[in-house]
Amino acid sequence: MRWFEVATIWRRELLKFWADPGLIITSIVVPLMGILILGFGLNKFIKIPGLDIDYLDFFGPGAIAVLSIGAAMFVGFSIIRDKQGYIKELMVVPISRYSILIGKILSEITTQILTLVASVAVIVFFFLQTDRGLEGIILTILFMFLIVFGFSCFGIFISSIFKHAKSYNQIMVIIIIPVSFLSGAFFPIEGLPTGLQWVAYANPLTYGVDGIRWALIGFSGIPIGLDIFILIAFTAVMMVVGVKLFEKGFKG
Amino acid sequence: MKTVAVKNLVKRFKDKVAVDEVSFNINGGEVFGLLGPNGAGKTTVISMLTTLLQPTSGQAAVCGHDIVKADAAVRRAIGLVFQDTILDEDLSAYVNLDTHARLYRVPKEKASKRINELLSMVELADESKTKVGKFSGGMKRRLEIARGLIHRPRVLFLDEPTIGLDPKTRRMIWEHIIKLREHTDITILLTTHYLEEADTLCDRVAIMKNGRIVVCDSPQKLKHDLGGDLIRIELDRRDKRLEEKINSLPYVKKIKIRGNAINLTVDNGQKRAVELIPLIDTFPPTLKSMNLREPTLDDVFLYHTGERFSSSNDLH
Repeated sequence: MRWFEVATIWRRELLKFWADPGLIITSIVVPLMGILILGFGLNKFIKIPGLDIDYLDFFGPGAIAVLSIGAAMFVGFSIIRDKQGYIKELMVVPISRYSILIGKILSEITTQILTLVASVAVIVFFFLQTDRGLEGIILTILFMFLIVFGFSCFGIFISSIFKHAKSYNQIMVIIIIPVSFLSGAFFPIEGLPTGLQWVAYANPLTYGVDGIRWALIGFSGIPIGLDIFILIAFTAVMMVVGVKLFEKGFKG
Repeated sequence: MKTVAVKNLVKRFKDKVAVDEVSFNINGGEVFGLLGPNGAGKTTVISMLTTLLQPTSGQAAVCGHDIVKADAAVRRAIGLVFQDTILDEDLSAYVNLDTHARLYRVPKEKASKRINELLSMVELADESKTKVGKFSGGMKRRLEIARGLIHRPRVLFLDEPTIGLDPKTRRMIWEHIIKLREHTDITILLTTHYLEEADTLCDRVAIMKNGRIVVCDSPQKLKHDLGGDLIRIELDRRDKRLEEKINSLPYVKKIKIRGNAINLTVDNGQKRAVELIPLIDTFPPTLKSMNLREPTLDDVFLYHTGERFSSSNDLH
C-alpha cells in the first residue's frame, strides 16, 4: 500500500461527491428532517423517568448516533455498487488492493462525516441545551468517527458476502432497525424486557449512544472508558474481517 | 520473445470448464482476435491474461512476465477496456483520464499533454470538460480506449469493443483501432463475436468454441484454406446428368446438392461462373439464379465446428 494510491482514490471519490450537490443536500436534510419531527412530536408527551431533562435533550445525542450508523451503512452500499464497476477497473491498475479499500473507506468516511457534522451542528446548536462546551463537541465527533468507522467495516464485511446492491440493502434494513432501536437512542434500555436488554448490551451502537449522551448532556449509564474500549474493539475486529473478505471477494 | 505467449491454459469453475487447454502466441505489433459465440470463453481468457482471474492450470506470459508470478509487472505493461462501460459519469472526460494517469504515476505535465493528445486522437478534444454522463455510447467507448492508453501500455486488451453499438459507431471504433495498428507499435488482443469485426481488424484470428481454440490463423488464410470461392446454382428442377457433368469438371473441388440447388467450391470463381452458364443451358433444367461469393469467416466457422456461427450465437 502506498499513500499516493490511497490519496488518488480518495481524491476521485471526493470529486464525485462535490459533483453531485443534490446528493449532499438530501443526505443531510432527509434524515435530519425525520429525526427532528420525531423529537419535537414526542417532546411534549414523554418524560424519561428519573431524569430531569426534556425528551429532546435525551433523544438528540441518540439521534446523532443513529444518523452516524445510517451514514456508515452507506459506505458498504457504495462499495458493493462499485464492485462490478469501478473497483473492477482499479483491479487492473498496478496498485495494491489495500490502497483501493483504504482509499474507498477513507473517502466515504470523509464525505459522511462532512454531511454528519452539518446535521450535528443543527441538532446541537438549535435543539440541545448543552453546557458541555468544546470538550463535549470534540468527544461527540470522536464517538461519531468510531461509530462510522466500525459500522463501515461491518458494512464492507456484509457487502463482501453479497454480489448485488439490492440484497445488501435488504439485509441492511433487517440489521439496522434492531440495531438503532435497541441502542438506547430513542428510550432507555432499562425499560426493555431482560432478553432484549441483553441484545442491547451486545449491540455496539449502545456504547456509541451512551458515549455521545455523556459528551453532550453529561448523562451516562455505562462507564465512558468502557464505551470507548468496546467501540475500538468492534472497529478493529470488523476492519480485519472486512479487509480479509473484501480481498477474497476478488479472487476467482 | 512473443509479446503474449499462452500455453495449455485452463480455467475450471465449480462444475464447468470455461477455458480448455488454450494455447496461442501473439507477436509484437499484431492485432489478434479471439472470435467466438457468447460463452465460448473469450472473456475468461482475457480475465486471466490481465491477472483478474487465476488460471486453474497452464502458463501464460505477457511481455515476458508470468501472469501468476509477476502479476504486478503484467498490470504495468497492459491496458484493458472492459466489455461493459466503466467510467465516472459524474466527472468530466479530462478528470476521468487524469485519475488514471495519477494511478499509473504519470508525472503531472506529461499527463496533461498525453491526455490532450489522446482526447484529440479519439476526437473528444472539444468535450474534455463535459461530464461523461452526457456522452453517447460510442463516445464513452472512445474515451475508455483513450484511458486504456494513458500509461502507454505495450499490450492493449479490448473485450468486445463494439458490443451494443450501432453499425455506424462500430465502424468509427474500427477506424480508431486501425489507426492504432498503423501508427503505433502497440499489440492488441481483442475479443469479438462479430465476424466482420474480426475480419476487418485482425492480423490473426483464433476461433473459439466451448472453451477451446478450434483454429487459428490470418482471416485470409483461413478463408483460402476452405479451397476457393463458393458458387450456388439454383435450378427449376433436379437433373442427374447435369449434376454428374458438373461433378466431373476438373475445377470443381466440392459439390453439394440441396434440393434444386447445387453448391460448388471452385478456384477462380468469377471465371468459372461465366463458363458454367452456357453449359447449364445445354441441359433441360432452367437456371433460376446463380450466386457467387468468396468464403467468409462464417464459412470457416461452419467448416471447423459443423455449425453456423449465427445459430450458435443465440443472443444476436
